Formats: sequence, C-alpha cells, structure tokens
Amino acid sequence: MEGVPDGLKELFFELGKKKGLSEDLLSEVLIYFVKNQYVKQGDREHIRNSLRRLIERVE
Amino acid sequence: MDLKYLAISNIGPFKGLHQFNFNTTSGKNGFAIFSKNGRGKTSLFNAMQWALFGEVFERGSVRNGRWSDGQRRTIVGDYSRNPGPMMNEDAYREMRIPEMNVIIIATHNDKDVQINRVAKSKVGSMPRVDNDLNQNLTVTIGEEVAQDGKAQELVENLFPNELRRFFFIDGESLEEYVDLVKAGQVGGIKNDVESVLRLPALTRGISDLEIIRSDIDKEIASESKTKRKIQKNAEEAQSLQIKINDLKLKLETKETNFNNTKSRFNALEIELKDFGEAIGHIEELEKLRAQEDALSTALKRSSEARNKLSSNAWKVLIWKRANAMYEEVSEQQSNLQSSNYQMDLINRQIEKLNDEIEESNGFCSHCGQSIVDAYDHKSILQSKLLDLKNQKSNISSDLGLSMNEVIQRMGDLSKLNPPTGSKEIIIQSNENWLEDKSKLLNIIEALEKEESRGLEGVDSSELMKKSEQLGQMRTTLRRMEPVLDELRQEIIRKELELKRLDGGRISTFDQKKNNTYTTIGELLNVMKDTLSKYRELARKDVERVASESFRHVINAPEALTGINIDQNFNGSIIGADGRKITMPSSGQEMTMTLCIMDALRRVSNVSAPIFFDTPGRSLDDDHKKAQLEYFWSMRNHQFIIFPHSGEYKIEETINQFGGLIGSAWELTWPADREECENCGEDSPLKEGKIMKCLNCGEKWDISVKETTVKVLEVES
Repeated sequence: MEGVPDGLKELFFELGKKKGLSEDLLSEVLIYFVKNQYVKQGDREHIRNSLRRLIERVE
Repeated sequence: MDLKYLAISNIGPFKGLHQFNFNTTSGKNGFAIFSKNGRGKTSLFNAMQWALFGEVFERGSVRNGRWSDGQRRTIVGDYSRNPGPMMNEDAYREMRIPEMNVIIIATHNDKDVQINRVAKSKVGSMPRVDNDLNQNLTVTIGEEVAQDGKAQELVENLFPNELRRFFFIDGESLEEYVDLVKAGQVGGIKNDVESVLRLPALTRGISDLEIIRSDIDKEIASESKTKRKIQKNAEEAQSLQIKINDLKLKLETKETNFNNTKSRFNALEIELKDFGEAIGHIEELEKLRAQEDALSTALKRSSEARNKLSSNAWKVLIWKRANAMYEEVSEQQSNLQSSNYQMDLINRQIEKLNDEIEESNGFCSHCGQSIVDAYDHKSILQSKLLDLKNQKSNISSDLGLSMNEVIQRMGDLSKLNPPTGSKEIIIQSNENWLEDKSKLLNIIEALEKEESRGLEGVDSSELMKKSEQLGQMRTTLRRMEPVLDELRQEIIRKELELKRLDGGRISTFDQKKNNTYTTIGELLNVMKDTLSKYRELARKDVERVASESFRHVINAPEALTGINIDQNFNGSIIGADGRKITMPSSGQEMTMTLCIMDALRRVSNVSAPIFFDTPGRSLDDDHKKAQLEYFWSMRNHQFIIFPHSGEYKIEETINQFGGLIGSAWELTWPADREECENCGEDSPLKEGKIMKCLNCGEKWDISVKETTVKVLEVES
C-alpha cells in the first residue's frame, strides 16, 4: 500500500478489525481516501458516489 | 518510482535534445549534476517539475509564518526578464514551430512508466504568450496510456503535487524552510506535514462518509414514509377490494333478477303475441277506464269549482232588481243633497233679511244717508222674506226621506251587489262542468260498448292480468337498466382506484441500505479514532526517524542527540542533557530541517526520487559531507543533487563518494572548456570570442551560452 504511511495503515486496520470490518473494506477505503485526499470539498460528489458503491460492493 | 531516463529538449540553456541516464546496475541511488551558475541546473530541476505537474513556480517565501509559492514561470514571453521564460531562447527564435519537451522514463511497482509533456506553438513562430501553445501530457504506465487530465491523475498517484516540496528541495529556500520548521513559528509546516502524513485523507474521508450517511439516512426515512404510505394504501386497497366484491355480488344479483325478469317478459310478450286482438280490446278497455278515471276526477274538480263559484249566483239574480232600487236611492241622495244646499242658501238669505228688517231705521245701513221711502223699502224686504219662506216650505215638502235614511238604504242595497265578473265566472264554470260531464258520459258510453263486446274463448280477466304483468315488467326493466349501469360504473371507478393504490407498491424494503448505513457508521468511528490517535503516533514516528537521520548527519552526535517535534510539528534540536538547544548554529538548523523533511517523506511511504537544488548552501564542509553520505546511502530513494561548483567540487566529490554515486554529469558552456574536445590538448588559444586548439586547429565560440551535457566517470 504505497503512499499510505505504515503507522496510519496499521492503526486503521487494528481499529477497523476491532469493529468487525473486513480487511478488504478497510484496505479499499483507505487507498481510495488517500488517492483522493487532495480533491477539494466542492468537487467530491463523484468521489462520494464511487465510495458508496465501493462500500456497498465490499461490505 | 525509480527514475531511469530523463530527456529534455529546448528548455532553459538546453537547445535541442539532451538525455540523462539514471539506470544503474550497481543499485546506487546517488546522482549529481554539477555546473557553474547559469548552465542549467535549475532548468533541469524545473524541467522535472514541469513534466510532472505542468507548472513551475519562482522561488517561494514565507509570509506571516506560512509558505507562499513564487510567481508561476511562463514557457514563452519576455526574455529580457530574469528569470526568463522556460523555453530555450534560441529555439524560440529559430524554430518555425517552437517546441519544448520533457520525457521521463521510470519504473513503478515493476511497471514501466513514461511521462511525456510537450509545449508546442499553435500559432507558428515566436508565440507571444503561453496561450499560444498547445500543452499535452501523455502518460503510459504498463499497458495503460492516458492523455492530459487522466494522465495528470496518474502522475499524481505516483507523485502527489502537494508533497512536491518534500521531494523538490531548493537549497536557496532552505532558510525559509528552517523558519517554518523551527519552534515558535505560527502555522509552521503543519499543513504540509498533515498532507504528507495523509491526514486530509482521514479528515476529508470523515466528511465524505458523514455526507453519505446523511444521504442514506434521508433515503431510509423517505422509504419508511413510502412504506407507511404503501401499508396505508394496502389497507385502503383491501377495504376497496371488499367493497368491489360486494358491489359485484350486488350487480350479479341484480343482473340475475334483470335477466330473469327479462326472460319472463320475453316469454310473456311471446305468449301475448297471439292475443293481439284481445290485447287491443284489453288495452282499449284500460285506456277507456283510465280516461274514465281522469274525466271523473276532472268532473269532480269542475263540479267543485262550479259549486264554489255559484255561491254568488243569488246576488246576481237579486241584483237585477236591486240594482234599479239602488239607482233610485242614489238619485234621491243626489236630489237631497241639492235641496239641502238650496235650503242652506235660503236660510242664509232669510236670516239676512230678518236682520235688515229688524235694523231698518230710515237710514241706509251702508252709506248712512236717509232713505226717502223707508216704509216702502221695508215692505219690499218683508215681501222678499215671505217669498223665501214659501220656497223653503215647498222644498221641505218635496224631500221625503232624510239623508241618513237614504245612506242606510244605499248601504243595504250595495250588499246585494255581486263581485265584478261573477256572472261570467259562474257561466264559465257551469260550461266547464257541462263539458266534463258530457265527455264522461261519452267515455262511459264507449266503455260500456267495449265491455259489452267481449271476446270468445279468451279468459279476458287472465289476459288482463298477464297484460298488466307485462306492463309492470316493462316498467321494472326500464327502472333496473340505469341502476345496473350505475353499478357497473361504480365498479370500474373503484377498480381504477384499486389499481392506483397497488401501483405504488414496493415489494421489498432495501435491507442492504440499512447494512451500508451501519457499516459507514462503524467506518466513521474507526476513522475518527484513527485520526485522533494517528496524529500523535505519526508525530512520534517522524520525531524518531528525524532524530536517527540527524544523529547520522550532524557532526557532533555526542552533544546533539536528536530532534524534538511538538504537537504543531515544529522542530527543535535536543542536546545531550535532553533539553532543547537554545542557540543552534545555522548549519545545525538546516540539517534539522532536512532531517525532518526526510523523516516526513519516509513516514509518508511515498517512493519517489528526491531532487535537491544547491544542496550545500549554508552548510559547512562537515555537514555537506555528512549530508551526502547519509542521503546517498539510502536504498529506497534516489537522491539527485544539483550543486554548483562552489558547493561541491566535482573531482573531490566523485573521489570521496564514488562508491555511492550511480551517475554524475557536468553542464558546461563552450567557454567552460579548457581543453580541446577533439585532441585533448589543454592549452587552447583565445582569439576574441573564439578559442583555437594549437594542436589540431579545432575552434569553438565561447560567446555561445548553449549547455552541453558531459557524463562524468564514476566508480562503477
């Protein structure tokens, strides 16, 4: 998971698994957020749409 | 991302195509591009940035504690400015269609990457502004090829633009970085740090998830509302269905009755068809009887009217005589009124004569003169008086009845006077009665005649009964038809309503949406927890990695043990006693800043080459050496420096760090050549702008400011 700090990834996975979330979901969501972290707030509607589809698909 | 080749064309002092090969078989990650000032180090540094991000900025500065980029560099434009446009000036002026081009070839996760950005005039020679250029980006990663916007997205996945300050380090701006990193600066580099640590991914992600969750919440609420509506509709539909069933049952019963009646009617009609004459007789009898009834009623009414109106008939009869009497009394009244008037007049004259006779004294009562024959005059008056009395007596003897008696008699007689038109009304009512009577008698006669006719072999009473039944059934059928129609219409209306209620039905409630809502809620909790804990975790990580680097690079590791990074990511140097160093040297601060930037870069886990322009500025020799030794030793990052000859001497550097250097180049102008390229003779003769080799006669123009790239030999 290049571009995602190890500390962030490990903590996110640890907390996510405690909540019962799957590794696939956590991984895809984190990569997606990192990839789109610089998209401005006003331009994020398509990101939210894709994210929702991603969650519906992976959960 | 590992850089393999760089090819630039017509950028800065580089006219035409120039290539740099970063391929090394040794796995060494140190690279150096040496030159004197103005030979194109910064142009190369900028060429890389332009290829990756499509924009280059002039040197930035810190304003109000925050970093601010300089002005954006233009590709073409005013060449008298310093710094001038990025495109090589000679190429700009000489090419028919000026073009500037950078190609980067690299590998990323074992995939070949090619990034090609080109700016080409779309208006022919000497385009005036950047808008006169077509700028295109083509990116190939493995098999994937993308253009422009999509290509830029691919580039930024490899090399985030927001992090470029951590990978493109300008030594000239390092003091500005130091100011940002040093403790006490407001704002500092917190935003950059958060960016490199990917905190925006969490903060924006949280915001995104909250919006999605809110949307789903609304959708669920809306669906619940719909569901309730559907349930209500279903109940209504059920009730409606029951009503429809009832109506259909009712219709069915009525239709059965109707059909039965209709069948009986048809049968009876057929049965009675053979008794046409009899039916005619019966119908005639019925008609006559009906007329008899109607006329009896009419006669009764006209009889009653005649009786009522005849109440004044005696007055009409008596008035024939009473009217003459009334006329006579009326005349008497008139005469009496006239006599009374005359009597009044005579009485007033008698009274006046009596007064005159009584007052007669021989003098005129009017003028007072003596009357000559007063006696005669009195006699005349008395004679007149006597005449008047006689007239009065005559009138009195003619009067007969008194006025009161006359009025009384007139009143009595007027009571016998019938209302106006009574006679005519009585006559008319009588005529009406007579006419009705006559008609009734005629009908009775016709009825008796019809009844007496009779029919042979026909039970007329039975026939009449059936005929009556037929009539009743016809009436019943006529009455039933609109009722049936209304019932059918009512059923159609209710069935349409039922269809409408059923139309909005949603078969199943989206349970999946509920699951997504729950998952997003859990994700939000995880992200919020991660955000609150990771900031501190990352700070500690950066502090640890920066301190390790610092101890390697610093020339006094026994006195300076590490770097402290506070909550706002401002750094300070820690001494051996564990306290912050209050007055560090500028070299120590520079090194601290570089180490923090390096730590952030390493913690970010972004793998990309580091480009460091003028890396040795403001560092003493020890720090410069330590810096190269540390950064060139890293195995996972290519480290490319762009030193000028005053910072790092070429031979000395290559000799000292040859084991860490993959490749090195020198950028020169013709004026920099101290030996003949042709024969290697090192004592050329300068003749004005021309240098001439005394050995082979090779000549070169030293006034030309065109950069040549020379590959330096390094230890393999």
